[in-house]
Amino acid sequence: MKKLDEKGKIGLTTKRTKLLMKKVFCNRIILPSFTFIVCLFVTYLIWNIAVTNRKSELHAYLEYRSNDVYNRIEQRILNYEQILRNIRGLFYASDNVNRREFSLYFNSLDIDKNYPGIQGIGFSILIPTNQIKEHIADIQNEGFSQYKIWPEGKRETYTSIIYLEPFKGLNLRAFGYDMFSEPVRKKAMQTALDSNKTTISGKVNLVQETGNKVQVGFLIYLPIYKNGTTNLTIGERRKNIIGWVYSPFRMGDFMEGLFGERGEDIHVEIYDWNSITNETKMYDSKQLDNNLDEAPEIKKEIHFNGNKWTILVKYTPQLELRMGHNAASTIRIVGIILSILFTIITWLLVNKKIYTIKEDAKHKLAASYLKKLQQEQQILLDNIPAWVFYKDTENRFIRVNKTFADVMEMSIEQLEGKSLFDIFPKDQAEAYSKDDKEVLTSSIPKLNIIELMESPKGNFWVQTDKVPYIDIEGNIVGIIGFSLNITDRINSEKSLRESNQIIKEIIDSIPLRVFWKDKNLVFLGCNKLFALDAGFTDPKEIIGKDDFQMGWHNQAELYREDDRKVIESGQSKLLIEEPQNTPDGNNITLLTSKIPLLNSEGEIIGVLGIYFDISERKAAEEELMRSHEQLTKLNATKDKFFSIIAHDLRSPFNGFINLTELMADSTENFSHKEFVEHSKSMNKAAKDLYKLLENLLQWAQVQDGSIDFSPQYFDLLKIVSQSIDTIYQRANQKGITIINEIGNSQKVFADEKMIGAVLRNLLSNAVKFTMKDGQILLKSKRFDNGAIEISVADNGVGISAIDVKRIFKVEEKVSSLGTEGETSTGLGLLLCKEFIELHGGNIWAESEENVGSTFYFTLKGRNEDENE
Amino acid sequence: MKKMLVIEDDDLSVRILKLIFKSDFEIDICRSSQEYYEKYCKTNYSIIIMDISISGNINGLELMKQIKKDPVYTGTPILCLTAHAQPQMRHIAIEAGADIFLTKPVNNKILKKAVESLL
Repeated sequence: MKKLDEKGKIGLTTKRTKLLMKKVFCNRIILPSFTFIVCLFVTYLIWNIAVTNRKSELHAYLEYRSNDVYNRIEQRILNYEQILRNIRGLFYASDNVNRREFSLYFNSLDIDKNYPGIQGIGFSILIPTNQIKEHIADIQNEGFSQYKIWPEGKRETYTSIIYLEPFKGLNLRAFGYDMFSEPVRKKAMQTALDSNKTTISGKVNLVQETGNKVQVGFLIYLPIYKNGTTNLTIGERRKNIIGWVYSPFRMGDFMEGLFGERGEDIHVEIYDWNSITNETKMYDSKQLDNNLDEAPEIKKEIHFNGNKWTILVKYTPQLELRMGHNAASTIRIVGIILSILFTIITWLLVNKKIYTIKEDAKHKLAASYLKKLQQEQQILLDNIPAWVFYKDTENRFIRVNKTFADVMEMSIEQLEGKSLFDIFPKDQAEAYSKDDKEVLTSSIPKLNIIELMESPKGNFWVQTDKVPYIDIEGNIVGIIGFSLNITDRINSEKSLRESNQIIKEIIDSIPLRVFWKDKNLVFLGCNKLFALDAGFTDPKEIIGKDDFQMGWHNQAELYREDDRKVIESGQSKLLIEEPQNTPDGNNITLLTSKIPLLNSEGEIIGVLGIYFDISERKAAEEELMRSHEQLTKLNATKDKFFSIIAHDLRSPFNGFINLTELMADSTENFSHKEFVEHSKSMNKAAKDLYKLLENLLQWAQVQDGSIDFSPQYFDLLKIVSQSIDTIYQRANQKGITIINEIGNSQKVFADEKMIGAVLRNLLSNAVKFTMKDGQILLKSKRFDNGAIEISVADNGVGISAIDVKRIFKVEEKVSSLGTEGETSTGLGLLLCKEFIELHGGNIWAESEENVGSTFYFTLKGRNEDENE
Repeated sequence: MKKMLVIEDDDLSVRILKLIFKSDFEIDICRSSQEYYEKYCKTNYSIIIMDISISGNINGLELMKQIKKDPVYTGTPILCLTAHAQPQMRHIAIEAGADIFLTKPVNNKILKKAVESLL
């Protein structure tokens, strides 16, 4: 257990360490930073070594170059010394060297060509003080009348430059100059004299120097003794000295060309003796404008007899160049670059931004492919007729296509980076931004946003889809939008909608039912009135239904049959009159027209129908027809009636006219008896005629409503009794018994006269058609509603079944003679019927031939309360 | 003496016909269609004078048709004398079998002439 724990502990520790390591090394910042520092440090180390190397290299080179300078100067000096020795050889070879010889010899040396910097070669003679005058005279005698030794003054010893070649120009100024008068020269001449060696003077100003370009100079002296080279001691030399051959040098000219083609890459300064000051400066190659103290330099001394020069050779940038490229600076730059590169690579590796080298090629290929793809995408984006854009979360356009840029009248580059609020009016931008925010927060695409867009090119209706832009890590980084210009569509939809609305208004407001069905007789639409007829409120409800689902399902087949005929034949069916059951249970009549419904290609796609509700018209028509029929019938009835009446009226007149005519023509032919009989007959005919006329008049009054109809309460029995009284005599003659069973106090509300007339008629008829010893029975019957039924029954001949139906009909005017030949007008029952119907009652008869007849009539009762 | 049948229910008319024709004809008076079939249908008359409006089950026109169908009366002329004065009635009566159609009131002499013309 313990072991296990330890193991666990160790494991844990290792694990922790590993984790820590992993944390450190995989950290996206620490590891690259670490790499950067290490690389920089290594760079620094290498650079440092390179700098040190460079320095020593530089120093060595400078050393080499300064040696070179030294050697060259020394060599040149030696060369000039040699010349002087050669001149001395001339003096030693001849006892007396005159001016011409000196000149010849000098010219043979070709000094100008071979020895640059040399001003000339001269001979200065030592003149003992006592021989001065002679000397001047000698020289003046040579032709130089102006000759003198200068500078003037009393000195211990005099010297004079008597020869100086080339003897022309500035050199003429040195003629007769006493160089012993000047300490620097004197010192060098003295040293040369004592050492019998060429001696170089210190810094002097040559007497030839005039004007602006004054150069410092120096001189080289070589002593000439009597007896040549035999003088070994200083004393002998001083004793035998004749003079000095010498050469004056301008320092600049002397140094010129000394360094050859490489002269410009080092800076050389030469100082007289060993103090480095401006006073002692003899030469400055001026390769450095400012004397750089820190520049590496080599100091060398060049020793001559009696003098020395200090040569300073200094580093110049040109030297650096000549040395070749400075590795240190390269190392520094390359090192820093590499450090940065390493850091970036590390960072990229840590952040998994690059693939392994093995995949690199593939990656590059993919990248180029991707680029091509992107270009193609851009081309595609730019050419699609929609506005495509990609915005960040802050309303800024990151990428747009050309179509979009064009409509905003900007270039793609101008538009990218702009905010919504930069290019759209505030309210619009806010609306767009609101949608964007919605998509950004919900990460749900928002599609088919229809909105107005103002642009420099005008206002457009656009349909926009907005989709969240989600990067590889799943963060929402923006909005991708896709807008279509649907202005034309919106406008045409709008006008279509408007015209549809107008059409709808029209078909809804016309007082017609309009409907249309497809080929399967399913409703496609209808107007409002139609929908209401069908039992719906909105025309939309009808769409998709058929006639079986309508209020008129009973007539569905009837209608559909017509629909099918119209669709099959392509022929319209117009003005079909057909019934319809309405949803509220009424039956109405329609006048329908159906025409084939065509599409724009002229194909039949269904049926279009319209109809009117002609129920009222139909009812009116029917009413009219009915009344017309009635009227016609009435007219026919009356025609017939009047033809009968006409007959009944004519007949008696025929008798009167003819009989009276006969009687008048031949009175003598008539017996008294005959005369009486004819007169009685005519009297009776006249009475009948009068009765007929009276009845006719009454009937006419009833017909035109002018009869006096004044109902009132009266006692039925009273009227019945009066009526019986009028026919009592006649009944008595025939032996007929009249039994009245109508009781007392039977009050009726009616027109007394009319009811009396009816009763008399019925009783009269009963007496007429009843045999001798017959019986007539009057009865009344009261109903609960107050109505009363009165009946007059006889046991007479009765009426045939056919005639029972005819007796109350005007057109059938029936008249029969009574059992004893009693006449009748044939109008009696018709009048009864009119009178009873005027009271709102009924009259009818029941009869059996040879058994008897019973006539009934009823009168409406009246509520007792209403009586009084 | 020739026999005449008068089918007429109007008393006055019957009297007048009797007065006019009693000297020339033996006259039978029939007042209804029933009476005709009961009493007179078998008798051979030289002439029949009849009204259209008569009592009985059938009217004058119907009776006229039946009489005309009866073989007994095939050759018997019928004078229709009626108060029905409508013009169409003449046509109807002729159709039914009347030989002469006269409307009341008729002049006695014209009536006499008409009867003579039929014999």
